[in-house]
Amino acid sequence: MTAKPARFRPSDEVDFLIVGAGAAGGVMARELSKAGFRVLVLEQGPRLGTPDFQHDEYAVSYLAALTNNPRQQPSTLRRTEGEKARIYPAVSYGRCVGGGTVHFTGNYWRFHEIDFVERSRKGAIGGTGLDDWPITYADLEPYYTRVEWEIGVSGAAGTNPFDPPRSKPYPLPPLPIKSTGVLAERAAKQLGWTAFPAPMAILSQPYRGRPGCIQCGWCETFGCEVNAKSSTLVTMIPEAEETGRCEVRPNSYVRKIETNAQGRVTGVKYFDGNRREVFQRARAVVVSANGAETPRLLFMSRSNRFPDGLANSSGMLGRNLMFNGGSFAAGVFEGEINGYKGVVDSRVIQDIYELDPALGIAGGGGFDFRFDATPIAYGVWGMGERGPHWGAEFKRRLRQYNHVAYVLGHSTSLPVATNTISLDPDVKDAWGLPAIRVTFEEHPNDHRLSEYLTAKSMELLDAAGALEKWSFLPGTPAWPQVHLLGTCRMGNDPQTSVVNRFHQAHDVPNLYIVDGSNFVTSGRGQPTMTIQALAFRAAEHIAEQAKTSG
Amino acid sequence: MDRRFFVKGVAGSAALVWLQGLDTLRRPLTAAKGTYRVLSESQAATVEALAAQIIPTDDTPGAREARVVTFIDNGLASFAAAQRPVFERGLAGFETEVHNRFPDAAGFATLQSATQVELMIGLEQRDPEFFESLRVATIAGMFADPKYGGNFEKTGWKLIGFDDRFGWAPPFGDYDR
Repeated sequence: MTAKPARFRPSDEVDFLIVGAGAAGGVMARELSKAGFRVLVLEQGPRLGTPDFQHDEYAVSYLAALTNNPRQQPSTLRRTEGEKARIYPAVSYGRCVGGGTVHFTGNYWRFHEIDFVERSRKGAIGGTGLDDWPITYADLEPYYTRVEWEIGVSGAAGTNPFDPPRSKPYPLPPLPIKSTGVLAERAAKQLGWTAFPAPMAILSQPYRGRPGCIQCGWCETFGCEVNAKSSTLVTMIPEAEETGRCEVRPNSYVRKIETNAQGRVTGVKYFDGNRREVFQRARAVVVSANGAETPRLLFMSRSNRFPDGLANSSGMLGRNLMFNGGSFAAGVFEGEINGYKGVVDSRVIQDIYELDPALGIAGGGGFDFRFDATPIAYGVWGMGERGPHWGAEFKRRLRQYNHVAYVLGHSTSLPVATNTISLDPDVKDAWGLPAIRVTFEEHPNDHRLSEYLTAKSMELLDAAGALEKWSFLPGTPAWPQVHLLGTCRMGNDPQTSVVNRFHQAHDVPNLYIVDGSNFVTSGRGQPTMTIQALAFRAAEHIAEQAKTSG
Repeated sequence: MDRRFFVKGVAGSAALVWLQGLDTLRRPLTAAKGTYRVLSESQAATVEALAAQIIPTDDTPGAREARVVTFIDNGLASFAAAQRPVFERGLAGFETEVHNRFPDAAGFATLQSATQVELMIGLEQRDPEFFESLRVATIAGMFADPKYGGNFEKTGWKLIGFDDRFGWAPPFGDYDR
């Protein structure tokens, strides 16, 4: 039996109010409502469905149909604290029910053991706040497995020699290999490496009432028109609503978390779709608004009792912003690749997940071969900063569209305390709220890492037999940034972290933060899998705690 | 790294309007060839000739055949109206220069191709804001869905071998056969 979704009034004191219906918020809503609690999810953006998910590159990619619109919600950017930030599209995030999981590519790498203990294994790094997580891979492993089985992830266990231990295989076999994947295998073999089937949050076969992928090829930046992409919009959210205890309220833009004299959260103020302010009562609040919007909301929730922002007695709120570094190179091949057909990624290489210490470069990463440039995108940026931009040579390269493969490097990005999210003092959004201000300067190690990955990518392209090749400039990749990590760090010490190992704010007992902002290290790209594993783990603990404390 | 790389090199430039200014367009545009909503006939001829050097026509079609100028005119009238000042200023400056250097010519569009290219290399250096706006607009007009007025009869998509079928089965390419 399927119950109707709940409907709450603002005066109803819900058990949990979740801010953000994305990767983490969807999992929290499902888990907490299934555990018996009354849950309300407030989402900034609209609730869309398959009829809205069109293959119109111009409208979807550039109108911001599924993401924050930089004209309504501008962000600002500067390199260092001394500078004045200028308006710049610095961050992009999913702004609809389902959040970024609606338009993501679906790469679902688990973190490895090293990602949680890199500081103690490899040592401190000057100019960074590199630290161990308060949890280990072993603590999180059961929840990675839950993500794979609850939302539906396709892959092949045992094919990646560097895969960390897993308690269960994938629930679905891998998606079909593409020409880019075959080239990845060919290149990896030459280097003595392994290209293994990409773990993807896209169904290779029907699963739990959803159909298998039709290989339309337009996953990245687009919504899935057949619900084969395992977004929370089509997995966690409907299951939460089926409990009859969960309401998802779209077009609800939270501007402040309210607290009482005892320092406890009482509810939130938000703008509804008509920009009217509503106060919604709640016994506890879970913020899952992403690594940029979460610290912004906590700063906007400052009060006499919390003058530096809510949950910020440590001064760590908004700090250690990480994006995931990487590299980008392209090769032209004799045969047709047709990268635009089929799911973006089919093979991944992780042989440099931990770099040889002799290189003197911290961190590491992985590669995939893909061609994810939609036609306008290929013309605007796809040939690289140093490539032809117009004229006969430009046209020649345009016509290579179906013969190009990209090698993408995905890597660590070091936590640096002065890389931050803060409130812009001058720029406001269309609701009159302070804009997100990004302060970011790449750590020198990460630039060297990007140079290294770029050189390795060129080697891979040679090994794959590329006729022509080019690389993009190394360094912090394209703006806007989409992996928004580290700004509400998890830790055991309230002096140096914002939440404890169960995502509870050190300063506010009934406030939880569950999203990419909790990351202590960046991993090697593809953070959504870990965001959701953290959410499953957090929900289990929070539910137990709420039941025992009544 | 599921990134929206599209702004690489374009981020922060005025040309972004071509990629982010769409909120006023909710219905298909069907302007007929040869009639313009914003551009004068002479401006349209110049824009068309400029676009035709960005994506030239050779033994295969280019920006001219894709009716990129119709897309740009539509855009300036609606979804990229914010680019009108850049275009008006940029075009006026460029046409003045063309007239000063070639007082007897009836406009940029009538000049020899090699002369056009030389003038555009100068334009790119002198007015990069207008040039980049023109370049991005040309690419968008070549490859955006035909309902926006360019990519006439899917000329752009056919040129690069993109098939808008949106549903495939392996093999996808020559290497996975």
